[in-house]
Amino acid sequence: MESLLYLKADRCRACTHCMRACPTEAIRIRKGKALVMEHRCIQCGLCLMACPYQAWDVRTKTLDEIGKKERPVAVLDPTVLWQMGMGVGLEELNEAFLKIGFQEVHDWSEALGTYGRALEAYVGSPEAPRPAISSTCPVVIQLIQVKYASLLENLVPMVLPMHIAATAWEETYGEKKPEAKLYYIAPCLALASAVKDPLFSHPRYGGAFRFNSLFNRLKAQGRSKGQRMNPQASLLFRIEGVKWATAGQWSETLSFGKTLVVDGLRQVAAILDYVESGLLEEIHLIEAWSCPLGCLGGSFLTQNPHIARFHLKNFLRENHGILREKEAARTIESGCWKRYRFPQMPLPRPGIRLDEDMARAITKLKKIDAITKKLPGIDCGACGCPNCLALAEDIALGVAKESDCRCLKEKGRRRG
Amino acid sequence: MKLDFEINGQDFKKAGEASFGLKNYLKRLGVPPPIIRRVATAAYEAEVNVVVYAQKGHMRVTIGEQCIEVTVEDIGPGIDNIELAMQEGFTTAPPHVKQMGFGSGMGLPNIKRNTDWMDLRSVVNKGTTLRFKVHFAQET
Repeated sequence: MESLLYLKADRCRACTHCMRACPTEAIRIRKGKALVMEHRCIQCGLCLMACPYQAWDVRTKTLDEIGKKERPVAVLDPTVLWQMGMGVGLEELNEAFLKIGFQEVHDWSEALGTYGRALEAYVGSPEAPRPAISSTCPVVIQLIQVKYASLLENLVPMVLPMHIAATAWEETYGEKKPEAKLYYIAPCLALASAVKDPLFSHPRYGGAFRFNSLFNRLKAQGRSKGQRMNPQASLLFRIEGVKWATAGQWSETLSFGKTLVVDGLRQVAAILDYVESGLLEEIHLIEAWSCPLGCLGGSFLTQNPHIARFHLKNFLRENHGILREKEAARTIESGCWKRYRFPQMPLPRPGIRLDEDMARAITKLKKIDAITKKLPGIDCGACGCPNCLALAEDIALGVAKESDCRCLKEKGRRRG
Repeated sequence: MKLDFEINGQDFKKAGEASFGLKNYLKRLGVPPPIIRRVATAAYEAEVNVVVYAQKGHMRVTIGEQCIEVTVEDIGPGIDNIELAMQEGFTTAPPHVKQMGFGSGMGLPNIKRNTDWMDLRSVVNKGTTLRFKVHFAQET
């Protein structure tokens, strides 16, 4: 997936915070600047969050870039509803987006409902692997591509919900509004990047906006005190839409019951390790999210995720009756998921593989083991690698030198 | 390429460390993912058997050009009746072990299912040696 992440080199001070934060050891410091090895990057955004100097930036859209002729249509991630505080109602949110320059705000709650039913149909079908792994978090998909390639066959083979939103819009308005472009209001780096990826998304998208880049302007549109979220309002009022914002809410209502919900990247990796060793086969679905509490933990959001979740859960509790009605009326047509299949399965990425040829990889591994014994093992990061093992690997791969290690250099200087 | 892992008998909190470590090496070597999964599953089951039943054990792995060979040797009670042990659902796991989620009786059958060759030998009151191989090129 093409990354929107880039470095503002003049701000980077090689402090190594991002390098240490990266869960796949994808970052190095070279010539005094951070650089990311794209084949290992899973777009979790931890580097962005770790940087004290705002050196990492993202190529998302700005309002000034969008011409009026483009007729931009906003597709709000479900998390957006919970960012403005309880005083802001649905119609107000809708209006605020229109006031800041969007032509329209697309109500895609129906599409989310469709996705949910399709997912349920898939997991219940005989073709589904056990366990099936959710594919709504692009970071989890990429983590699997990079480090757990044997689990690619466990992924639910369906496009992202944002794709279904676009298909639904296209069916209704596509012909009438040929110049209009959809823009995803994204909670995180991975979803913002997914918008332009043909595997997950739809060509009608013009790009993505970071929610936090719009927040101040949205807030400035004014608010009327005390207006609560009106469940009858058209925008995302349907409960299915609301539930996707946080981990576990959606799968609680599934008919087959055996779902394991896991959030936070290290926790997801621990669960994937078990699946790879043949465990957890009694589980129907693993609902996995890279961010804590699911998408509400996304780095482009402004509200504290626990506070947002508190409001979301209150809303669900208050509208319990409507929720029950909707669920009772729901029908799941087996096989309906096939309409939303991936155009092709995501492929493994070279990731942590040392070499394409195994004989050469074995030679490199032996070299790495030998070099590791010489290195101090304190993982100081001064060489520009996150730990000593990574430096040993880079040396074996020919992209670093033993003299990069400050400790060895210091020892050598003292002896000589 | 040879790898060596120690397995501590009765140490349930570390159960799986050896096979997870092995998996990491295989990924770095670029072993095809389906092979990794099979080796990881078989190695995990073998490791858990040592933890559940034995005092201590070793996992030795040889990565060759044609196949991966794993030998798991332990010092422990041994297996009385190998044929019975290979039956699906048969287990001699005590209740406290079953409570932890182990002892389904599927370990040895799982190893057989995931490997291309398996050899199991044991001497009662001495220990057990399990060997298995997974080939890279799969005959169609």
